[in-house]
Amino acid sequence: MIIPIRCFTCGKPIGHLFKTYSERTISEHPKDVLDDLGLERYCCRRMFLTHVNLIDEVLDFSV
Amino acid sequence: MSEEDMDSPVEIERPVVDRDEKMYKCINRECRKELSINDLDNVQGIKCPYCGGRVLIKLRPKQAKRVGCI
Amino acid sequence: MRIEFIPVDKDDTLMFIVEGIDATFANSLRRAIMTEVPVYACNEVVFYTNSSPLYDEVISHRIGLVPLTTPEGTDKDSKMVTMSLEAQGPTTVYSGSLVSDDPSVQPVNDEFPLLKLGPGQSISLNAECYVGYGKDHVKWQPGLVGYKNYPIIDVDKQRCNLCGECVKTCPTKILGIEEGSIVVLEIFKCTFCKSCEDACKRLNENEIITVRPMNDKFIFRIESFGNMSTKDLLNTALNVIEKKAERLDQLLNE
Repeated sequence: MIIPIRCFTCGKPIGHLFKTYSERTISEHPKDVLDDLGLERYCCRRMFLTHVNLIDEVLDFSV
Repeated sequence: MSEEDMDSPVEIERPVVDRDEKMYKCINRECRKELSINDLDNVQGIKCPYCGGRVLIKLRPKQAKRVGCI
Repeated sequence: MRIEFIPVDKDDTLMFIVEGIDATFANSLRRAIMTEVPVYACNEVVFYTNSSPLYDEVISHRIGLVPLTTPEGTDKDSKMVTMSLEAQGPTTVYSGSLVSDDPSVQPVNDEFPLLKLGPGQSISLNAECYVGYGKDHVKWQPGLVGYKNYPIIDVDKQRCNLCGECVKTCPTKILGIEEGSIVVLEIFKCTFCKSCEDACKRLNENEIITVRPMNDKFIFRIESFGNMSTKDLLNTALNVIEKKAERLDQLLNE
């Protein structure tokens, strides 16, 4: 849906990095971007790698 | 329960409803009118008094809502 | 007790080696930092309007998780701070639009996406922030702490034939060959995987290189979530431990 504020497992705040991540992964490999963002643990890295940004799809469906 | 309790009518606290508050909305594409309970009283059954649409949705109440950050 | 700091190139991380403590103390320090440091976080949200596609509960949960800067000297009795948010679509609402009534308590970063609004949608809310502890909820956890034993890597120089197999297999690449002997380059990166031992045993049928933990020396790593600096975290946690120890002492004397 929308990127979580914190990593589910370790609790590190990660939400603010998503903008940079999504902009940079267009041209770069995710590994390099994640390394640059300082995400060392694989719990935080999977938050980005497995995230599907569906918020734009549901935007029309509010009351 | 004692006998006295059985005899005295139980007072049920009912929330005060503003019958003019726009609580419902007709989802007919051409209509989309917001309706109050008074508007609905004028028609038989549940029906939009303007277009006859039978599907109404309830709107968000005006009161502030307190939600805990769990 | 001896403390030695390890230089780290990140601002939010602190690494140091402590000598002369046992695992019990190391763990109590870890737990004190993660669970006993008072920190601000949003605890309740009052919604006035919300026509966004996200539920009130989802939004309040997300606002709660945003880490807030916490001024020095904050304790359990510090006052409530209110933040207000008002936005009109179409936009993405970031934590930067939360307006705090106390400039010292603010979101750590202005870039946290809280919700997204479509055309014609709007949101207006007040968030109430209280001081709490990490033991009650993650939103009050100021950072992450980990520790491990300091490794002892022994190489029997007389029997070592410098085959270099241990250097090659080490996954964290902390071994090297210098001046005809195996040397440890960055010992605090050792993970006790013992791959070097296995490789040596496989080739030489002998345990020439051995890795074992030291039981009174620990490598600490503190990672702050931004609520306060790592040094402040450590100081506050040590004060908490001191107070608790004093209280125990008092109770025992009564």
